[in-house]
Amino acid sequence: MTDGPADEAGPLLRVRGLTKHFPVRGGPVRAVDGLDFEVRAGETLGLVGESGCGKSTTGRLLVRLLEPTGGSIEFAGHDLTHAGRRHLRPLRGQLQIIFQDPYASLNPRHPVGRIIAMPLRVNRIDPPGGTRARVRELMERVGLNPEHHNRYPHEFSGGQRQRVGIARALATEPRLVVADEPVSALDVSIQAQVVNLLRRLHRDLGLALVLISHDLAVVRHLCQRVAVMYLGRIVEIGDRDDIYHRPQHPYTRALLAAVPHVGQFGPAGRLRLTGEAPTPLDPPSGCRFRTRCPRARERCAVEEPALVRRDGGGQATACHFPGPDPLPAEPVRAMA
Amino acid sequence: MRQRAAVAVGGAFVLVSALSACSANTGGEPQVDTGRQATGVIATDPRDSAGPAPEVAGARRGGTFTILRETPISHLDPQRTYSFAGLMTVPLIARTLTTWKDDGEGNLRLVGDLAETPGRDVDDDCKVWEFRVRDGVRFEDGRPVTAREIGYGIARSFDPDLAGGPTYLQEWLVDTPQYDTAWDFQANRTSLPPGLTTPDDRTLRFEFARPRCDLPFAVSLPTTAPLPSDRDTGVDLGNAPFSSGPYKVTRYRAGVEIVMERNEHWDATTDPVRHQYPDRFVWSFGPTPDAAANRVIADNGADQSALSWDYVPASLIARVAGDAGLRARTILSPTPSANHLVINNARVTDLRVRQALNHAIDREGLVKVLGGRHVAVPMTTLMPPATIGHRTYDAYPAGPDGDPDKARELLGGQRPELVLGAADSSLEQQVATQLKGNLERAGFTITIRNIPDDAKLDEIKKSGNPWDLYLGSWAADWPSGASILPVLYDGRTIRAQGNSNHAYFNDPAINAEFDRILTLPPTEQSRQWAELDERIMEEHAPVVPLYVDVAYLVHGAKAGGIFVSSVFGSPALVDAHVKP
Amino acid sequence: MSLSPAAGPVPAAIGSGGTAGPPRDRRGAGHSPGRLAWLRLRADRTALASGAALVLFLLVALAAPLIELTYGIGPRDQFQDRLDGFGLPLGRAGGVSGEHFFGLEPRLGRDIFIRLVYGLRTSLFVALAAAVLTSVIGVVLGTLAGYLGGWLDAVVTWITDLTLALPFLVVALVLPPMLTLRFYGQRDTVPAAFGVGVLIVIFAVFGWTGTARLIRGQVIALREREFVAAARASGAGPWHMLFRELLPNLRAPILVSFSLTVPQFVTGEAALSFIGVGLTEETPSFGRMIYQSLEYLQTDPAFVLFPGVVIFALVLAVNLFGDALRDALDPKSAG
Repeated sequence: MTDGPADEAGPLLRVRGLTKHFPVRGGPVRAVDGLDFEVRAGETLGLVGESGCGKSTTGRLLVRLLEPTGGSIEFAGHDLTHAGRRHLRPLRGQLQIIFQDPYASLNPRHPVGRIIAMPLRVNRIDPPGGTRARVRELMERVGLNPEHHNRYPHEFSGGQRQRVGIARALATEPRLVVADEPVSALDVSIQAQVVNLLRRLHRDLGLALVLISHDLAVVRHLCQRVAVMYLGRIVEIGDRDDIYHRPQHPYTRALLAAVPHVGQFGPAGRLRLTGEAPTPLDPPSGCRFRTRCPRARERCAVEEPALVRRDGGGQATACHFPGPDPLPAEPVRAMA
Repeated sequence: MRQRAAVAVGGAFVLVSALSACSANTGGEPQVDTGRQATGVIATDPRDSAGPAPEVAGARRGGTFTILRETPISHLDPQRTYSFAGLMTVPLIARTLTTWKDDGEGNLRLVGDLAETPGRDVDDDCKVWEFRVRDGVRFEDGRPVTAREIGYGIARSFDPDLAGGPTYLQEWLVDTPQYDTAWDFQANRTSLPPGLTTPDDRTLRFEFARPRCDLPFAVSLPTTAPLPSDRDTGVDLGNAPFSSGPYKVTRYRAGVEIVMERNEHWDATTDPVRHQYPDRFVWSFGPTPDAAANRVIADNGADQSALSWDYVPASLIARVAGDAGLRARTILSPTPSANHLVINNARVTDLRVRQALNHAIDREGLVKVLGGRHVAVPMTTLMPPATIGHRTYDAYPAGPDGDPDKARELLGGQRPELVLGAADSSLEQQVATQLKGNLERAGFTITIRNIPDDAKLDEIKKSGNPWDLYLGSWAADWPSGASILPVLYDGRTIRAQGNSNHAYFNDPAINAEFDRILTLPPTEQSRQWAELDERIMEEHAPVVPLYVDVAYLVHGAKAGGIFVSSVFGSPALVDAHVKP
Repeated sequence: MSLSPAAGPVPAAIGSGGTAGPPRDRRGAGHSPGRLAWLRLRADRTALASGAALVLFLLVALAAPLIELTYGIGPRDQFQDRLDGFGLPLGRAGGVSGEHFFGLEPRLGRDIFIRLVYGLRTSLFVALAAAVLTSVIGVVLGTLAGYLGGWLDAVVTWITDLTLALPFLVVALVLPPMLTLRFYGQRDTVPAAFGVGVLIVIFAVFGWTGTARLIRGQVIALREREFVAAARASGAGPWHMLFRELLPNLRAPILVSFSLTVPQFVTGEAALSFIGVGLTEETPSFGRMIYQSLEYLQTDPAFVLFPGVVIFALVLAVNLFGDALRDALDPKSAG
């Protein structure tokens, strides 16, 4: 709740109990239902999950394109949760977003130079050396020919356009960039280039990155930490290696199992996700994953598991029966 | 897209080639009998009123005579009818106290119809009139017509439920325009209105508080059609009138057609004007004037013995007039409907301005705007030439095109700014445009202000209306100066609204002349009205006489005996017959 | 939504180097969508022809007083001495001669050519002014309703429905006389410009709903696009949103709806004058001429032909050009 300068010791982004409900007929859609996580300066966090799990909504909440229903978002010591446009304005430049669709995210009527300069213009930032020089520098940095600043988006390929979108996000020298599925709309051959670009930018500029993706390979390549979302909640969060090599939550294990050559683990690799994810309109009681979980027990239907750290390390799991190994055949009633 | 363009270009090409194929218009004047004057008199000799009417040359009995008209006749109740179509149809199914012997060429003679003569002025003061009812006239059920049924007909015209017809008799009998409150017909069904008596079955007696020298004319209107009280169906009478004339209504389909067939109880020897040639008359409603004219021109089947009731529409005049083969099937006749450029004398008080307007007017150009001599003929008098005793004169001779120089001279350098109120109908807008150009060339400044077409008549009838000039027309109910000059120019009648004197002209000397002439015997009046007409124009120029309407009719090759009524300007049906 | 394949508004993505694209100048500047539309328009022969015709019409309308000067005849001059007894023009094809190019009107005997020139001026002025006004009202209300949504959208939608429910003819019939009376009393001269102005206002008041609905729909569609979200995420205010992000993308629908309303108002003016509601007799007008000419279809076809062909050509040119413009702006819609 502090309005003062960022506490350098604390995390850059702190999210507590973040909730977003969309009112529709038949009750609210609980798209995001109580998220807690932090992102430190210069850190990369991957947000993974199936489509519809609320990760994109989370991305939009972080840059306040949506207003949260509950919880709080604190960025560099400022509470953004319900800040108005005027209050957000000084922070906008430090918090940028890259969109999934490189076609829809660029204004077709503007030359790319103007698109890239847009955040400078709306925030009335006059960079040293002038806007033109800054645009050239940004275009070079993302691997575009600066001579092409007068061209229009339709004259660029999808990968190039995504570079324009990235350049735009970088224009104001942000400290945190939310990348919402930045490569999923691109050809596979192009994806690697863009992923590498993001990686290089992170390294060179030291920006914090929240990468939202359903692609575990991309996340593994880019992120230091990973949060796994299911039906609006984080089911597991931890360092990359922990998540990929020692997944505790059955859902994480199932996700990894579905992707060849990403996770190598033991017998649990046989886990298969069956059926559709339940609707966020009416999530299951207790543990939300229980309807598709091979380990589900009576307790799972009654009690919602909290996200708890294990072993005092950075890895936290929301599961009553976590662990790498298959459960004993006998349900452990005593634990309930 | 390209196809559309090609069609367009092709269409335009066809039109252009069609156009270049037509021949050059070299002009040529149509002939309208414009010098005609009514020589009407009231026939005092009973022999003039005796039947039967002379046979029409070439007429024979039989056949169906059809009349085509766009708008239906709303009803045929004699006491309620006032439209030209109604006034021309009612004589076929109803007799009236007097009627006009009319040759369609201005020779008019008022004769007795139900009456043996056109009335007797008992004390020579026009206050007491007696009519002796003819013997042998019968209703369609064979009952004889007596003074009682005629009196009942007049009495029922007081019924406010049966309004719509002429109101002269009603107003004169009780001496007030609010006649229906002065005498309540519905409460006195068995009696006659005050002033009207039937001393015996063959005598009808009118007594008035004031001299009513025009009574013989007024009783020619269908107010005096007879009706037995037991056959009075009230408002329903219009759909099934009870006939005393040569025809009776045998079928009445509202808005579609009216069929009239012979009434065998009608006796030709009792009737001075009517005939009974066709087996039946059929009014057929619906076809537009264009369609009706085209049908009778095409002359096929039943249309061969048909008449297109409306005047030939402007769009067809040049074609019909230019077709020599149609000449025998057209009738061209001036009507008594007179049109003036009315000057609001309450506003334009300078006589010289009014006279300058009269000098400036270009009647020839105006007639061209109206559609030529088949639509209008110029007129320089207050009363139309069809008025009994009319004399042609031109108080401000300026030639057919007007004399702008003379007008300027009269104006003496001033440039009067006048507002011309014009209805927003297409035709009147063009007439107003013509008048504006015409008068501005003669040194006036004219502002045209539009008045909604349907409101114009009411507006210009309001005294204190804001306009200086407007177009006005007057069609009298009988061709006597008494029904024109005092009605239009007696300044003592001016009230807040509903003025017929819409020139708002008021001159005591002229008013006194009205009083003097109105008490003269009708036969002596006509010459005096004509003199007064000229005097008013010379001394006061209250209006600019413009033109009289011209009737231009076309009928099928087998339709005969049609002429234009000199009284109403519409086709008369009493001589109609179907040629073999 | 995050897994859906990309679907962009532009049909053909041009290769990475842009080599497959249309020709570009040496500076390496790209072709804006507007410039591409212009290039497409220039390559369309129908567009060129109808555009040239429109320019010609505009020039004639603008130069009307000049034409009057060289022609030597004014729109109100009468030549009744050249009419016959029926008020019809003497001579061939409605009095066509070296002096009167298109002949004379029956009755009043005015010169058809110069009245058509001035009628064109009236017609184009009314149509263009009304179309501009219509577009402005429609775009402003449509954009506000679409972008801001909420109660404002509800109010604008309500006003739209109300306007659509208003009986156009009744208002067109009743309003002008009322306004005339209000502003000029019963006797003052009513300038022709007043009637023209009232007509334009009536057209605008009734004409904006189509544009507003179209623009509202477009804005709602655009509002969800990510470039708008990008601008918002950067903190762009409503001004930037509307004028920098949204409006440039609305140019095509605005132009198209403009090109549709112009001929609609040309014929609208004619139709109103046709039923006697439009301009006064003194103002030269296509509609009134055509209305008056129809009577003469049989007796003086030239009087029907000349105004008919001119208004037909004008409306056709505007429509064809509008079609071409739409094709050029949105090649997908081309047959």
